[in-house]
Amino acid sequence: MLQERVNNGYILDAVQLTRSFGGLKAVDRVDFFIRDKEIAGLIGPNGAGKTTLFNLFTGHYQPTEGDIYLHNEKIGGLKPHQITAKGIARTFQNIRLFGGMSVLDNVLIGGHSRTSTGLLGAIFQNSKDRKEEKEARENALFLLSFVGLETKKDELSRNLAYGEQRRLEIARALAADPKLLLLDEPAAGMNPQETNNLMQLISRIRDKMEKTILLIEHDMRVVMGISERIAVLNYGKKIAEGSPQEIQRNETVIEAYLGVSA
Amino acid sequence: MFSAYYLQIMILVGINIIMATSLNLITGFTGQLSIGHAAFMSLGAYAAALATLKLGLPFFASLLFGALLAAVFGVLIGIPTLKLKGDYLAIATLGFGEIVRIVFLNLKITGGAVGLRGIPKSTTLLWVIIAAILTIFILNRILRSRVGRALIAIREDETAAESMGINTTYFKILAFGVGAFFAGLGGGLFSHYFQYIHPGSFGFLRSIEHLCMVVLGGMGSMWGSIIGAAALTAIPEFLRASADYRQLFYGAILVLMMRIRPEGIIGERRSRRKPPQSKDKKLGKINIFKVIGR
Repeated sequence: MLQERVNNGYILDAVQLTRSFGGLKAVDRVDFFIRDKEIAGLIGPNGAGKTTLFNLFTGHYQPTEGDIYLHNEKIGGLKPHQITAKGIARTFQNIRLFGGMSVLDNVLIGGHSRTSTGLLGAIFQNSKDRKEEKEARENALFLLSFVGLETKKDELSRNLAYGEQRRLEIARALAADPKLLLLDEPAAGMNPQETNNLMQLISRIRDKMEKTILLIEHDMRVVMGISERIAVLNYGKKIAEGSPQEIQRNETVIEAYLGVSA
Repeated sequence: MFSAYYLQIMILVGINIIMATSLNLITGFTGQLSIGHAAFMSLGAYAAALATLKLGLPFFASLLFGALLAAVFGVLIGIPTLKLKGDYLAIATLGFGEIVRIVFLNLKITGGAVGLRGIPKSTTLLWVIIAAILTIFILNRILRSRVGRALIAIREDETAAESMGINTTYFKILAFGVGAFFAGLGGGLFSHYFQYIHPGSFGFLRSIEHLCMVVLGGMGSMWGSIIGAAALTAIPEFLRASADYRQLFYGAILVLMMRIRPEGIIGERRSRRKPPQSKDKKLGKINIFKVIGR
């Protein structure tokens, strides 16, 4: 059974994934997969284990049990920077930009794993290093224009408006040229206009850049609007999975959100 | 050209610029609070002096030897202290500094408490200027590259930096190694100017002095460290006129400066692409508390 799942051609495949904190199982034997080029959603009430699951995928937490495969390659146990190099990039629920650095530098840092200039390269700057830096800058500027921030490239990232910071985080993650992009509540705190722009942006990232996207989101309009498949977590367990229409009709999901009717 | 007195001040300014800018790489740019910078300086000073005295190496080779040895210890201190942050790291680097001092105090080859005498006076003002410019040039190149961005990213947000694919462990060790290299260079210049070194030359207070230069000048600012080093070397000399109150004035300047401008003389102006927004004082600050982790 396990072998079958692993060779299924999923971009990401988690098998019986468990993460305990002391006695609490924040993620409890979750089976989860993402298909190539799909926009998948992950929802659940507060404290359901969504962000923990994200942190397991990105290596910020190590699984207590179970395995994670990226393109059939086991990534459970790797460090975050190694997983980024393998092709998973993320944004954070509470925005974590490099506030004291320019917008452009933030995106350049995102490209860290796709560049290689080391200490000696930095000091001597031979033609290869200069070329790499130039290309990294061009790519960063392209990504900034993709998310609509090209005019803000020289500003300190902490001085951007909230919605702009969210978009910058996405551009920064894209600079790592990930196969899989994880978005942790990208619409949180956005006004309806910003949310609409965000939904368009996410669709464009999938269609134009051909990325696979997994998002955690509380804004049901966003999740139901752009996800092709949704998984629902509650108390660390996956309680449902399916198309947005199926999830909206699912009794267990409705119970988890609204409580059991008397 | 200059009187011996002014020459000595200028040489000290140059050496302190090397010390402050290299400490700034570790503390100001990478955000790793270190109060053991004098230990790296002493390693370079002793190693270079011994290379000259015992091995008969030429001056330049001795300097390089001292700097490299200090860099090795910079890497070695980096490894066990990696997991430490803020004030915990500060205490660990302080402990390292004391260990180095006490080892030099007890080793035969370093002359114990008496120290090393008769080191040839090879350091000239020209050497110091070349070394200082080279230090600033190399540090600037590092800081404006992929490597420098990684270091600053670690200071700004270590978790996010890791998510960007930055091997934070490696880059923190690298910062300590490079910072220690130049501190060792400064030490070698020091021992070959004063011709006499002893463990007391590189005590805890000297590390604090280096940190003061960085903080006063502005953490994360190359010009800040240069100005901070020059100011804190020259001011005590100008205050010699009022010999009795000298230390008092010196201390008062530090207190006032931190009260009025905690971001330092040139706080924040570390990027050549400084946007107009960062002139906003409230937003443009990097203050010491952020680095300490409070």
